[in-house]
Order: sequence, then C-alpha cells, then structure tokens
Amino acid sequence: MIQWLVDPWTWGDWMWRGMVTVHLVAIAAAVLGVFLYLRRMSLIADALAHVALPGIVAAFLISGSLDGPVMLGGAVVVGLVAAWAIQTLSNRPTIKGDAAIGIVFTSFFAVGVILLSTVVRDAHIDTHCLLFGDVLGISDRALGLVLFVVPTVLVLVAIFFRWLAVSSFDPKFAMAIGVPVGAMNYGLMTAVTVTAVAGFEAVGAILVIALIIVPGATAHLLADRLGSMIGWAVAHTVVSCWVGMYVAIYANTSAAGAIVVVGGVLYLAAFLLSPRHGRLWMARRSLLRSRTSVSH
Amino acid sequence: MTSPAAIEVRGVQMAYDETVALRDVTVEIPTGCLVGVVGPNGAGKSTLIKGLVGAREPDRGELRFFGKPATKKRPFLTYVPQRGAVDWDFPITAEGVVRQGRFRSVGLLTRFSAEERGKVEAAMEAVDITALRSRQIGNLSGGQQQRVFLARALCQGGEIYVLDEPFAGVDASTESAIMDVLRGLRDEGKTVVVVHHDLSTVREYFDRLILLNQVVVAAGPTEEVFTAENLQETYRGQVAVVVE
Amino acid sequence: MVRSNLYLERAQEFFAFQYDFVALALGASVIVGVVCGLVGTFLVLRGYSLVGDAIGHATLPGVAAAFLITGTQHPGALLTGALLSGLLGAVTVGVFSRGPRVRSDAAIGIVLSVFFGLGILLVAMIQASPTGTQAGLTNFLFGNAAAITAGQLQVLAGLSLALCVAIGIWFRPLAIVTFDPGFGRSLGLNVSALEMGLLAALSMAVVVSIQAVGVILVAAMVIIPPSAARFLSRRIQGVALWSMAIGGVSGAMGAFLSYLFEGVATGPAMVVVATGFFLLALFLGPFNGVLATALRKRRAR
Repeated sequence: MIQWLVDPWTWGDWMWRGMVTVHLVAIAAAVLGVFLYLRRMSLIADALAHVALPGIVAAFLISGSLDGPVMLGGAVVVGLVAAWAIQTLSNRPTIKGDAAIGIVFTSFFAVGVILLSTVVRDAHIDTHCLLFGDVLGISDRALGLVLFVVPTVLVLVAIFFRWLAVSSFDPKFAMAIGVPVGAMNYGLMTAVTVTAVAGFEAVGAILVIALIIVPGATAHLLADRLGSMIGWAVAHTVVSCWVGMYVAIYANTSAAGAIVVVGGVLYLAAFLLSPRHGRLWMARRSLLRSRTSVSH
Repeated sequence: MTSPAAIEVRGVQMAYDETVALRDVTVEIPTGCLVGVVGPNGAGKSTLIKGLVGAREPDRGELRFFGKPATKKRPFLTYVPQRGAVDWDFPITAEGVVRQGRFRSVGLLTRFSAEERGKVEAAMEAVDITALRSRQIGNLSGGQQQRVFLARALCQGGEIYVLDEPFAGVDASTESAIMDVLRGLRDEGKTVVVVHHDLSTVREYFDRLILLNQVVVAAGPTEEVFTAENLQETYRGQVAVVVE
Repeated sequence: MVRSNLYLERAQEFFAFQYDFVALALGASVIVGVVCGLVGTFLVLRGYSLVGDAIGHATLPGVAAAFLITGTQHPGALLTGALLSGLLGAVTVGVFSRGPRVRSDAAIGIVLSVFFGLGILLVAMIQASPTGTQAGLTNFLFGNAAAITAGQLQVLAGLSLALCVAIGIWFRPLAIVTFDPGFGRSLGLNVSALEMGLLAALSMAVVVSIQAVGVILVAAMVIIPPSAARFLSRRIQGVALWSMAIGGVSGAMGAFLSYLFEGVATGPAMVVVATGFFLLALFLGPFNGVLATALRKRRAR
C-alpha cells in the first residue's frame, strides 16, 4: 500500500512538478471560486476560462511570443472585453443574462479555436494541451507562471478579504460604507482569468472551470461561515487532487479528468450526506413527517 | 426651525426605461423626526429609497442633506435593506453581519479593537440578539433576521437611518422592539425614514408622514396628513380606507 | 495569387458537389442549424440558454462509454450513449438546483465541467488502449461534418424531422409554458411534463448536432440564432422561423468555409457565421436593435 503510494514519486520529477502545479492552481481556483459562487457568477467564471484561450492566441499573434506575462496580459484584456460585452448585451431588453454569457463566450472561443488551427498552427502552441491539460508533463515555464501567480492571488484575497466578503453578501451596503464594489468585481474577474491561464497547461481551459465552481459549491453545503467555507473548499480540492492523481497514474488516463471526476463525486457525497443540508436526511425527515401525519 | 432639514428632495424625477416611477417629487424631512413613507405598490417608494441611499441618480431634480447638495459618498446615511433582498443562504453568522457595521472604521487588515468589539456587543444587546450570535442567518426567524440588520445599522451609526419595510414578516414583539429602538434614535436627534405598509399603525408610530403615489400626495405632521381624503387620493380606491 | 486560385478552385469544387461528402456535410450542417434554431427559441425565451451548454458537454461521456462498451464506432450506439448521458445531465441540473444551499447557475457549471471531465477521462482511456487510437472521438469535440456518412445523414434527418414535427404539434402549449408557466398551470397544462419534454428535445437536438458542430460549441447554435431572431420579430412564431433560417444559413456557410480553409473545423466556422448574423441583427434589427432604439430616442426628443 505504502509502496503503491510512494512509487510514482520515484519515477521522475514530473510527479512532484505535476503535484505542486495542480495543487497551487486548484487552491487559488477554489478560493476565488467561493466568492464567485456566492455572487452567482459561476457561469461568468466559465465564460472567462473559455475566453482566455482566444486571449492567449491574440497576444501571440500581436507579440509573437508565448512568455508568461504576454499570455496573462492578452487573456486579461480579452477577458475584460468579454465581461464588458456580456454586461452590455444583457442590458438590452430582449437578451437575458444567461443568453448574453452564452453568445459571448462561445463566439470568442470559436474564433480562438479557428485561429489556433489556421494562422498560428505553426507556432508551438499545443492545442490539445491548452484545452485538456497535461498534469504529468508540466514545463518550466508553466511551473514558474504558477509559482508567481498563485501566491499573488492568495495574498490579494487575504488583504481584501473584508471588502470581498461584504460586497459579495450585500453590495448595496458595501457601496454605502465606501467599499469600491466595482473594483472588487473586476478584480475578481481578473484574478479568475489569470488563474485560469496559469492552470491551462496543467488542467486545460475547460476543466479549470470545475476547479473554480465545484469546491465552493461543495463547501456551501457544509459551512456556516465564510472562513470555514474557504477551508472546506480548499480541503475538497486537495483531496480531489491527491485521489485524482493516483487514479490517473494507475488507470493510465487523463489526470485533469480524474481530478474533476473525484471532485464531482465529493460534491455528490456532500449533496446527499451533508449533516444539516444532506438531501438523504431531508428526504428521511419528510418521510417520517408524512408517516406521523398519516397515523394521526 | 433654525437648523437645515436633514433631507430635501427638490423636483426629483426617476424613470425605468419608459415607465416613470417618481414625478416631480418635492419634500422636506426635518432633522430629528420619525417619518413614515406610505403608498400603494408601485408608488415609487423603493425608487425614492434608491435615490436617497445613492444606489441610483435621479434623472432630474436635486437631493440635499443637511443643507448641502448630495455627493456620491453619504457616510452619515445608514440603510437597512428589505428582508427579501438578502441572500439568507450566505455563510455568515448573526454576529458576522453586525460586525460589518464597523468595517468602514476598522478598514481592511486591522483587528477589531476592544472598543470596536464593545460597539458590536452594545448593538446586539440593544435588539436582544446576543444569544443568537453564532447562528447562520438563514437559521433565524423573520423577526430575528430583521433585528440582526437593525443591529448592523446601530453599530454603523449615522445621522439618517433609512429602513425599507422593516416590519414585513415580523412578529409582534419584534415590531415593538424595533419601534423602541427607532424612537430611541429619534430622541437622540437622529432622523429616521421608514417605508411602511400597515395603515393601522401609522398614527401610533410616526411623527410625520409622506403619502406617495408617483407624486407626493401629502406630506407633513401625521395628524394633519393622515386624513381619509388624502388616503383615498393616494390609494385611488385600491383599499377601503377607514379613519375614525 | 496562387493561394487565391486555390480557394477559387475549392469553392468551385464545393458548389459542384464533386465529392459526395461535400453534399453530406452541407446537409448535416443545415439540419443542425435548423433544429438547434427551433429548439433554442424556447430555451432562450425560457432562460435556459446555458442548460444547453451543460447538455452539450454532458454528451461526451455517453459517446465515450458507448464506444468502450460496444467496442465499435457504430453511430447508433454512440448517439444512444450521447442521448442518455445528455438526458442524465439535464436531470442532474434540475436536482442540483432545488432546495437549500445550492445555486442553479453553479448546478449548470458543475454538470457541465464534471460530465466533461468524465468524458475526457474515458476518451484518454480509449486512446491509451490498443484498439482505441482510431476511434475518431476527437471529431465529437469540435465537429467534423465531412466525416458523416450517407447512412448517418439519413438517421440524423429522420430524427430531426420527427423532432420538428413534435415541436410543431406542441407549439402552442410550449409557447405558453415558455412565456408564463403560471398561466400555463392555470390552463391545466402539465407544466413540468412540458419542461421535461423541452429538455428532452434539447438533448435530442444536441445529439443530432454533435457530429457536425462538436460538444463544446453546440450550445452556440442553440443560443445565438434565437437571440438574433428576437431583434427581427415580436411574435414567437416569427422568432422561431427567423431562428431556423439563421441557423440553417449559418450551417451551410460554416460547412463551406470549413471546406475552403484547411484545418478549420465545421463547428467553430458555423458559430462565427452565426455570430456575424447576430451582430447584424443586433445593430439593424427593427425590434430593439441598436439603430432602431437610437432613432426612436431621437424622435422622442
């Protein structure tokens, strides 16, 4: 058993590189995800993660480089343009907010995919890797990017914790006490984009969404305070990463896919079994109630 | 009265797309009184509140506070939202909500000092919720929830308090407790504006009254304004009004 | 010069239908556009746009599982797998949206990403197995209309026709439920059954479409044409017709562009064309279009 757990670490340094990268990305995504989840912005996160792809491609087309800062800059600029477009479209009377999200990110993403397969086909962008990730083949560049981005994001969240908390809970009140609500909003969206880009090489554009949404959703079923909700979200994502990595290694499959599936299973477990809000207990309670009312 | 009015609303018009919510509203609220804002659904009460707290700029007209034109920042104004506007599933305890009232003065990273903690405690005691402090807000009754938000407002302090339907879905003992607190604020010289629904308690609760239905139908001391004719005009036959 | 000649040549090839697969690809793409445009009309009006995205992504594990179980690429098996997992995804969104401590938007995101993760996991297992390298499952990600055979096209056309007829029959109740479920209930309509039917129709439309557009972008064909059509008509019948027309034309032009430019998958090409139509409608549409609104405001002043 121990042997089985230790072995992968002796097979080459890809194991610890993969583990470090995926853990850092997952933790940053989980922490940001808690705020996005509570603000009902889960699907904005979905859109931003998709839109980062054309952002990177656009940055490459303009600068011809794939350095970390260029990629981040491109993704952030295109991400903010997308956020603005979603906002503007949903202000029109005939377009609902969810349709605006769907229109903007699918069209941006389609353009990104087309550019990837034509104009920048000769560049060293691994399409498959950008979309689906390769946890076991992390490059120095990706590792460096993650080591820079994730601590920065976490420190910023710690500094602005009170403002983020109050503007997520009651934006009108936050505005009244002088919290820069708009800046918090755009800051959060920028942080999500940056984290998604840093995570692309590890888990890919699409599955990074799961790392943002699922831990927060799980934690909400378990926690009564914001601090403990963040704790649960981080715990959820760390367990998913460990279990998912080993599943992927021994079943010889995609590590990103395995991590996400484990996370989904944990969410289902919390949904059914959470002590206070587990649907299994709720069903049993209502069954008992209906029985007693019948017997009376 | 020598001191300027706490709130002056001059010719304010506010509209959504093509429907006008408030038309040429002009009204004055003197400092140190307890004012009720009464009118039917869709009369523009919530819109007026939005204008007062700065959530929306008036399309036309002017707002003045204590004789000065309104700016974007209104630190003297404290707002208690409608209960329906709150996300009760949010992971926060009763005490956590009340502590938010001190966020402006404690800033981002400083710890709550003994003095700040004392203010939080005092506010919770004033509305009698100290025993509920570590409950998640969704696990409180409607009355308890309303008390929590009132405590946050007390803790925040301010010169003008704006409450949006504080008695909706609230038990009788909470209603009288809230009224005691509001009267206490008035007696300290604060100005309290309450959006209210229940006509039967208007006379008992408020010093002054604003009857609103897109325009100001009447405004002034309660006993002058609260007449059958004014109410008929405000509600335009939507309710049978009985004033003894 | 050489390059433009190449494109001209390809365009001539395309319109001469010199190769069978060109006609098949064109047919499949038009069908996709029309069916998604019709089903999408109700979805977008009901506020379920992104449920379409979730179902699109949720079909991938079904496709992969069907391949793992049957060991073949038989289209019937793959489409059945896709339909079942798409329906499961739709039901799961519903389950995860009810009760305390859940958010319906997060439910969509959870289903979308976790089902897709499961799909990627299964696809990776297939690709690692000795028989799996030729499975061609990547065609399902971004769509490859050129890979559709005559037999498959017949199946797709048959299913689509059945779907359109069914929606035609239930058009009125669906329209009422979409617009005002409360009113529908008061008329004695079975609202939840109609909503389930709508989600089933969506799953069906997605399944019919994934070979041509792929699971990742199929949502775009459900959301974008109806959203454009809302600027062109005020009545739901008009929106549905415009939406089908825009979807169909986008499908045809997407297939053409994908043939013209090597390496461009059909799905993204269709989506970009549909977005073009959306922008046209947004600016020039008579109902709440940017230009129309500006003119009306000016006249009001």
